[in-house]
Amino acid sequence: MTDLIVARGLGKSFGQTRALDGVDFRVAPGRIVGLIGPNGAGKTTALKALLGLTRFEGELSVLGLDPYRQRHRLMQDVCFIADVAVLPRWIRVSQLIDFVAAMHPRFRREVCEHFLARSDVRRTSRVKELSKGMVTQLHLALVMAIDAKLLVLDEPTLGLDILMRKQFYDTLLNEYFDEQRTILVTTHQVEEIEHILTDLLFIDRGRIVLDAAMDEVQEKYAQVSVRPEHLAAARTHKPIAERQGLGRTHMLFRDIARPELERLGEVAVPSVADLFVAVIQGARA
Amino acid sequence: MNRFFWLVRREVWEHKAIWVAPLVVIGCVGLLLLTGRVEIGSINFDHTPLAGLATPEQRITLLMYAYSALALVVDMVMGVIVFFYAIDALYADRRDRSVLFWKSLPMSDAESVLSKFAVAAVAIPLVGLAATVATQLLVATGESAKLALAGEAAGFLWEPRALLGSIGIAIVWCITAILWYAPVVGYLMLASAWAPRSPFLWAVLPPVGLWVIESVVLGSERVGDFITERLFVLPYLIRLHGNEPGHKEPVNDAEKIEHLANIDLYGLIGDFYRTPDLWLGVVVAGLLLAAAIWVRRYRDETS
Repeated sequence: MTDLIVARGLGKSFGQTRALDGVDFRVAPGRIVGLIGPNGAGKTTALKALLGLTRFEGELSVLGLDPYRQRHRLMQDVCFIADVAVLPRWIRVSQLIDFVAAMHPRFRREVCEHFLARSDVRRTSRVKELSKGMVTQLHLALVMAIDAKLLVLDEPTLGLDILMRKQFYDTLLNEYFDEQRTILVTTHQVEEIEHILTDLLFIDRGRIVLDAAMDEVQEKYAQVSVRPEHLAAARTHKPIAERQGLGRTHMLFRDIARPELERLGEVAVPSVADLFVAVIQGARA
Repeated sequence: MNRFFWLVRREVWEHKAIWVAPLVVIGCVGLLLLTGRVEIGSINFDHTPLAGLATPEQRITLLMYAYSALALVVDMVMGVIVFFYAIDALYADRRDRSVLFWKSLPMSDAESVLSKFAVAAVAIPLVGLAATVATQLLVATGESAKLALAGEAAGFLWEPRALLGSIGIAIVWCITAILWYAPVVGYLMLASAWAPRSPFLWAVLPPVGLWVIESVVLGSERVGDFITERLFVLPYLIRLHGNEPGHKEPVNDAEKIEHLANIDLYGLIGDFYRTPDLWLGVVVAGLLLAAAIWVRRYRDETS
């Protein structure tokens, strides 16, 4: 199957700042891709370019369309939640559903009703009367009822409590995602989404610093709690990160044979957060 | 077309003033009727001098004035609503960031802008027209009921040439106003789409600034005249007609009535179509709208 998103030399400047500095990546269908980077790394700019909300340099194709020129057509097959609480505050829930049903050819009202039935969102409420969590539930119910090929989520759970966040991702994974759909998500709370991601894209200072599938990552990278007597030996393998914790030194290695690592200490799969810190620091060094 | 209906419907959901304000006006007129305070100019329906006027022709014309004065009240209220609606139309959703939600739906910015323009420039004036006719009928009904109770003849209030004539004028004026004010609405919407913040200032300051600068630096009032003529219409008509030779200001009531009765209201509205200003304005409105759509479509939404 052809790639859903192809970016080649994607660039964008704001004055002197290069928000995106020649970014290349591809996203295949049926993946859940985490676009992860520190603040100001260019995540939101990249997503806005994908959604046709901003001009860009370079080549970008989303579902075979130029998002900037063909945004209207693109939105038939792409859904996005740009941020929490961007639903219009004055509208009633029932009006919102009616409107989306009238405007979106791929909206299935019964699916939306099904998701809303499990929440506390009342049809007669105005959005401004709902709690932040309920607004997110409502937005998610609307989006999940749209039969889209690509769903883009930019910090969809910002400001929600941990229960809401967990519920959000569980619903997304179990009831929405399938082989035909693709999800691109950015978030600061990496730990909460790492178990649902199939691919990682790390971005820093407008550049992609890591582009790998999760299973590749698990093969390539390993975290070792190095026993004190093996410290020197471990360092000869050039760990990409090293930190102290609970009397042990934890080192992150790339492309080192498993048996060799097991000799040095206990080997574990690194968390995305640890990997992220190591890769970003490595890229900046 | 169905999509357009829903887009317009969305605006009516959001802006209740569109239908609440005219209802309030009708309510106020009704209240004033009950308290016997409907006084229009020097014509008092309660102690009508109309019935005793010289000729039936004059009476009809003056009644048309009275009914049209009611239209003026409704028009002013609707004008204020159009102003604030248009200036907020493409800004409010950027301020609360809900534009990011609207832009996630498969609808074009042209659809969105044109639906809002249709509401401001066409739908609100049509609501105003309905409210005008309702107010006129309300006053005719109320006043004739009061006269009948007092045992006086009330039939003249229902004089078809006066009542239907006023409604006719309201309709013709509504159509003319839609065309005449289209560039004003277009301008306000462009300011609304473009303003980084405070669209009111962005819309008002440039023309007012030009007006002040011109009058201070050049000592002329071209910009000021242009603005007041477009907004308030009457200065435009006065310029169009000039002061007729031999014209003298009416001094007493009889002369005033005589003077008013000789003005042809349909003719006044017809004058709009005799100069290119109206149609130039329509062309300018199209350009301003195209610009508003372009700005709406291609501006980078800051986040």
